[in-house]
Amino acid sequence: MGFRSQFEGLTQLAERWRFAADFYMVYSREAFPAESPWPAPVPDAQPVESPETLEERFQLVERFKESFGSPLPFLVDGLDDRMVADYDAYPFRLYALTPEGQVAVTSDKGAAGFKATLGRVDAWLGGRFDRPESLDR
Amino acid sequence: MPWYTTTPPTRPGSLFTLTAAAALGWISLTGAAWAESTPKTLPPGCFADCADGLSSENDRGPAAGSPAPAFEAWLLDADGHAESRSLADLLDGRPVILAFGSYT
Repeated sequence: MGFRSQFEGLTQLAERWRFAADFYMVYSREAFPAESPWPAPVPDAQPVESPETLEERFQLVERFKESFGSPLPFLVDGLDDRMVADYDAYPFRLYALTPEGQVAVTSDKGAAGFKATLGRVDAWLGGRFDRPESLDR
Repeated sequence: MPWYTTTPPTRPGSLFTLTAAAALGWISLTGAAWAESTPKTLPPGCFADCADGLSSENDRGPAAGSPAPAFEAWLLDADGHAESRSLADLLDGRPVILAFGSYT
């Protein structure tokens, strides 16, 4: 349940293609915060309240990075959640963009769509670049 | 005298039935109250299946082949320092993968 179940697959994909593409985590609203009807447990076992200031968002991202051991860079949406709204990406979503700024691959929203699209992004990148042999073995 | 030494109810099933009925009633009332107070347009922390269902009915995200929406966001570096970055800043001759998610 929740995003962390997808995170390992994402980081593996990012590691596989880091020579060819730039991966970013985009942090916006919390999906299952403590004040919601279904708060989700997190690795550090501390309640996660929805941040109310940008500084609180930055601090929560630091918790996220530390708990997940994330190697990915993070983009943090503004408090108006404009980016997540424009991409209709709440609670989870994956996009692959061409170097020219076109959408190449998009997932459905949610955990199932995210997981299914990891393979499509892998295939799309594989069609543009030679796969790294060392990771194919 | 400890409570467990008293005479058990003559119909132990009835106590269980009452307790279960009360629990079900509480769950039903709580769920109904939450549903009434919750906006229908955004899931306030819904399960993934709920979000998946919404996407197929009301997807406002950019489709494949269309321009990616421009944005300004804060890029956090390894030291926790934040700098504003636009989509144009990130498109540096390489594909860009955006993974939207949250800690929970």
